[in-house]
Amino acid sequence: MKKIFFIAIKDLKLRARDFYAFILLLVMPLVLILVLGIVFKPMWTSTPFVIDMGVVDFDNGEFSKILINDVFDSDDLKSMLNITFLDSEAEAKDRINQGKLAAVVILNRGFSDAIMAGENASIEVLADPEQSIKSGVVKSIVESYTLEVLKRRTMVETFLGTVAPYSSVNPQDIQKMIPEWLKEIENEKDIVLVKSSTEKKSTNEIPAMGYYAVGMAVMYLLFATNSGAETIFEERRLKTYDRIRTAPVHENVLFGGKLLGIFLVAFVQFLIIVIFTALFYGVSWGKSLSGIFILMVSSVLAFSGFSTLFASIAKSEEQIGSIGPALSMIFGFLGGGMWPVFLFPQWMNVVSKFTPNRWALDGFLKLMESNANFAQVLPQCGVLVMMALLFFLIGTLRLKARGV
Amino acid sequence: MLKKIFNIAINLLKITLRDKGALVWLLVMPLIWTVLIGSMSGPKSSSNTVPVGIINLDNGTYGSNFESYLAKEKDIVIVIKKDETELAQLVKDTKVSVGLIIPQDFSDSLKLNRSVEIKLLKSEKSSSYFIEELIGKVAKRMSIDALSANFALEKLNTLVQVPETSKPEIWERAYKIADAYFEPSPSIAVNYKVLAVEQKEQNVAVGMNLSSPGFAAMFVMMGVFFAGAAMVAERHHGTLARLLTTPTSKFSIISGEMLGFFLLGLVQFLILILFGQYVLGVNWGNSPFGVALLTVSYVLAVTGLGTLLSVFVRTSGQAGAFAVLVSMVTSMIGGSWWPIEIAPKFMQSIARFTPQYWAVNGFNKIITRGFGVSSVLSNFYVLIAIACVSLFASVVLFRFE
Repeated sequence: MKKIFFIAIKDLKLRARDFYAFILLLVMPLVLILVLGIVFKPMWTSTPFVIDMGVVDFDNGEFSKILINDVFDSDDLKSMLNITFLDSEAEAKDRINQGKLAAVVILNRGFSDAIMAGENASIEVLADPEQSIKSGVVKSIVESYTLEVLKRRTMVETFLGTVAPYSSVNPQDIQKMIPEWLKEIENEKDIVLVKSSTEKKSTNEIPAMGYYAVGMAVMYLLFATNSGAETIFEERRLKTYDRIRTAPVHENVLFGGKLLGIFLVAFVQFLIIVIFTALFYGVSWGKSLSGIFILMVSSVLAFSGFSTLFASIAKSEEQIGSIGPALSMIFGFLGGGMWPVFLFPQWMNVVSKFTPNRWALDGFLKLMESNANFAQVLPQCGVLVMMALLFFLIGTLRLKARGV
Repeated sequence: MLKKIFNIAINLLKITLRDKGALVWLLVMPLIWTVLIGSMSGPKSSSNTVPVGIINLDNGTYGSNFESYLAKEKDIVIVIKKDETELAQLVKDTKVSVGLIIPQDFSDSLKLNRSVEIKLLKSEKSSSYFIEELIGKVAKRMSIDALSANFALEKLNTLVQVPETSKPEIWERAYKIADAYFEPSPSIAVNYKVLAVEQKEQNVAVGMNLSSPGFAAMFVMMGVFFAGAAMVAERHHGTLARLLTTPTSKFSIISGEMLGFFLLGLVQFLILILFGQYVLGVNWGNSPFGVALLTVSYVLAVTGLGTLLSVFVRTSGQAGAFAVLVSMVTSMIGGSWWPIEIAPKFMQSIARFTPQYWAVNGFNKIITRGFGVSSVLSNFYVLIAIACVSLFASVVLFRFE
């Protein structure tokens, strides 16, 4: 037993000596997590952002002025909208095509007159296809304005239309009351409300940084264990394995030591990622330390097993080096590390469950979202350990058969 | 000399193509990735319309008005249901995009100016932003119609004595007058025009929105960098040193290998364009010359950077790791994985230092905005500049172990 441990430590030291590579394998996920977290933070926590937009006012009428001064310049929207006034539609299109403005609102000549005269009127909004979120916001702002104006018109006109057949009513009297009525209309609230109820699974919203921390850390486990598996071949190539074999140690012990080494290296790397992200990125991995620990152990076991299996199938070190990263990325994706699993079509969801990534992710997310305890992640750990056993079994048998 | 350079390039190609690992990156990965991403586009029926489930429990006639206004939208197909649990299940299984339940007292509430709620069932699983917007508009329309009818009746009553029995009829008449302002389209409306080639439904990005040009750029960089890794392995195994004993100049060797990487990258990009075109339905064909210019300059830039990278790594393991790291991070920052718009301003500035930014930006100009060659010339020049600088730097720094 002690010999297995000793061999594993030897491996750890050897790998650590290739400090450059060890660091690289750590830096990778940390940089990725950082980039993902920074980019997605604004979107996920809906921090207000600034929209660069333009306005072309050919109308200069009352209703345009209301839109510009009362709506765009309102306290709510002032800080979000960065408005540039332009002189022509051509200029507007130009700026949009260059990506400088997300949207431009064009108020055509006669807009206000048309509204006063009870005719059809419209406001044009030109949008940048590459800034669909921001232009969508501008669109909804302008739309709520037009709906408000439409509401007033409709209410007054409907009344006028309804009262028309009653000849006893004096039009002059009505005209006098309209301004007062308009004030009343202003306060009318919507009658038909649409209330959505989503099947909300999570109790705690996991921030972007946290989600990607888990996804990327788990994805990189495969990178880490694969590079460990590469050393199986490396030792054969460098003939150091043959030299070790001359020592009075049983082959199984040597092999066991090697596997333990792969496990330990990956575990240490994962641990460093967890600690680093918790300390410096503010990621909370959950309240149950025992749950986190056991999930980490089972995940690293599963991936170590997988890499062993992979090494038993691969024909050379280079093959592991080239196919390995591809597998890591695909598994990372399938496990839900890049897109949340609930967006997957049914078949992908099924395939996903064949990857250790999926079970690891499910477990960690459970710990983070619902403050699960140790017992609640046992199912995930169970599956991971079973996968580990299966992979180790097949992998070891094959490697033995090949005479490693 | 040119012949030697060419031969070295071809040799590199041959070695790479024989290596199964390289084939994985060249063909298998892009194909798998294309399929995975393509499957993520959400529930769609064969005719590209979105199914919406409705349960109408209304006692009166206006619930069906709601239904018919919604049914008029060309992108929606209404599915009538009777049972709430059945509807909930359909939503959960994403067989319908959303479910609507119109309550019993819908018409009554409208007539009494009392607010009424339509329950909207949706699932986190499908992005229903667009549909919700449409539903919201119908709700607004009916609100205005009802408010107007109530208002008209109320004010009429203050001027003329309206007999109770006439009220319902007058209300309905008023409602029709109000509703006329929404046919055939709202009389005061917003004309929204996206300056793009295809008028596609503008989906709000839920998370990453990998695009064909975007991940083509990423995989090509990874592929070329991996080839650079192969070169490192070669150096490591000493074959390069042996090559140098032959009467071939250092320059020829480097140029030959770079040409090899370049050709590799070009082939890979071509394959990805074809996958994008025929599997994902991306229209790369708007300006073939523009696409060609961008592809060539991007692959050149990536070749230069790949060569530069290979100077700094010692083992093939490191090179592989570096290849993936640098490719993924620069692709993400550069806008390969999501529209640059969602990143904070400072990230958008950093993005301009990546070749991916210029490639994706250029491809979007052609594919999305529909512009031609002249619009992407600036992108072309920047990419060429990146290529020149990195190639120059690597030739200068190139040393042997």
